Amino acid sequence: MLEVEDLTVSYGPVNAVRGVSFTLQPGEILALVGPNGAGKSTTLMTIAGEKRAAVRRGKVRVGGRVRLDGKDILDQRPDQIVRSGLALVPEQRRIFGSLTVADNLLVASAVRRDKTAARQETDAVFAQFPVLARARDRRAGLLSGGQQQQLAIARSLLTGARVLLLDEPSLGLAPIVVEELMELIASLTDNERAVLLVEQSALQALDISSRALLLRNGEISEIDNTRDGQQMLAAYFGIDVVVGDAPADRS
Amino acid sequence: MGVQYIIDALTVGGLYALLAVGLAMTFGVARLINLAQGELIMVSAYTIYLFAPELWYLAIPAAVCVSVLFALLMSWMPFSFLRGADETTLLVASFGVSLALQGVAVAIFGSRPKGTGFGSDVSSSVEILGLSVSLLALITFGVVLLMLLLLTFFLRNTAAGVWIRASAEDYVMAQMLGVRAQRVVTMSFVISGVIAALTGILLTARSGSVMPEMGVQPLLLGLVAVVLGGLRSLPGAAAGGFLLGGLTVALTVLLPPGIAVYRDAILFTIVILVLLVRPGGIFVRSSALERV
Repeated sequence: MLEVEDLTVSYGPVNAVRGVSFTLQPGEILALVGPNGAGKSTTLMTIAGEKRAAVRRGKVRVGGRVRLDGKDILDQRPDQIVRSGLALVPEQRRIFGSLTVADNLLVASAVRRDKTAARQETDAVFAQFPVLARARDRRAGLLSGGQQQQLAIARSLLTGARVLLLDEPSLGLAPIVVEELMELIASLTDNERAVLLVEQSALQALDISSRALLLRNGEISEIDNTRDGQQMLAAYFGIDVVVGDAPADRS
Repeated sequence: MGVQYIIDALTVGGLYALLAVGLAMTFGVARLINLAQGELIMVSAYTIYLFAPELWYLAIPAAVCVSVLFALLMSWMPFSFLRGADETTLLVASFGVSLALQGVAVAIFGSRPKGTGFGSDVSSSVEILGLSVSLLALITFGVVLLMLLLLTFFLRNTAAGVWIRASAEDYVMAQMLGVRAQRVVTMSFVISGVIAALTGILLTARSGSVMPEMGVQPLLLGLVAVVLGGLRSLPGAAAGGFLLGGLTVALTVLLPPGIAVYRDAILFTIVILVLLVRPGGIFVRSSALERV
């Protein structure tokens, strides 16, 4: 579904991402974890086309290939990439605070050519996110952090994307809200949608993902998402936790 | 007399509000403070000059079409080539376009004001509820109100309007939800072209003449209104325009004759004092009112 091959991103002399390669299959949640400054967000934003303007101005250099369902998307504009079926839920949510919840969703759904499908999916989104349904006429800037994160995810779902990139969705949220959020993210793959999840809460991300990649200094390595793999990761991050059943151990 | 002053305040404020919204829209969507917006007023005014007074019924639609055409040309040359440039470069480029258009107007029409005869039929007063009110002021007020209502309806109730508001707030995020940036930029230039045309028509009717620099002062006042209201807020820009218009008329009425000549100096001193207290503009963007 999504193939990233030898992706490199440089800001002048600084190589933020060095030769990252991975694939993402339908129905899969792939966690991308790593320390701060490892290049996780840069990887996601580059895939989503957010760096394109900076590349055109010569401030960023990007190399490698990114293919979505076999089609090269690395040189496409962000709106073209969305229409190809990939959407980014960015760090810090970036909801349109001066617009209502309904208008935030309309920004995404109104772009779709199939208006009937867009209307039906909007109704489905309100059913899936009852909090947003109750707040549909409220200004989005007045929502809580958890509600804004739900809005950001719902908005990206309404683009019709089959691949969702989630950049640190738990940032700034209370632990109980993060738990609910992770359950929500786990349910996003129900319709063969794929999710690439960048998370600070590495172990929680591993708990819902089928595979995980560790990004360090712009380079990637695969994590064995078993109990041993989680313990290794916990040791790497210096976290002292009791590791539960990893998905790979549950079968 | 009081009713006349209120109508004047609403009329002047409404014109500034429209100009401010046009400027705020192109800034929000294209990151461009379009200093050539004043020249859109000028080209529409000269279109009136070419048709009026005999063909006044053609002058108005022609002025709107010419202004929109020039706005579209501006969005293409030079601004589409400068897409992605920093805001200072875009500002300087718009200044260049402004000077170029003024130079062309001087070359074709000369630098002296030209009488148009446009608006002479509406220069009289009408009686309303026993009060004598300027007909042109009423027409101006009506046009401004209609335009603001149409603009509000468009921005609030259409998908295109939602895209413009979203792009004005976060241009990159709107693209990352599939919004076609070029279409939104084009729409904002078209709207600013229509606004400039209406302003040019009304100002020409008011003064009865046109000249190459006639768009400069309205542009500056529109800019002040935008800064006063908040550069990144469309409602704030409109509110800033009404506030500036109200202050202008209030000072005109209240200042004694000996000091009235300093009206503009006093007005802009007040604006500076306001900005010292609220540097981001009076009307805080509602997105800044976030839960913590």
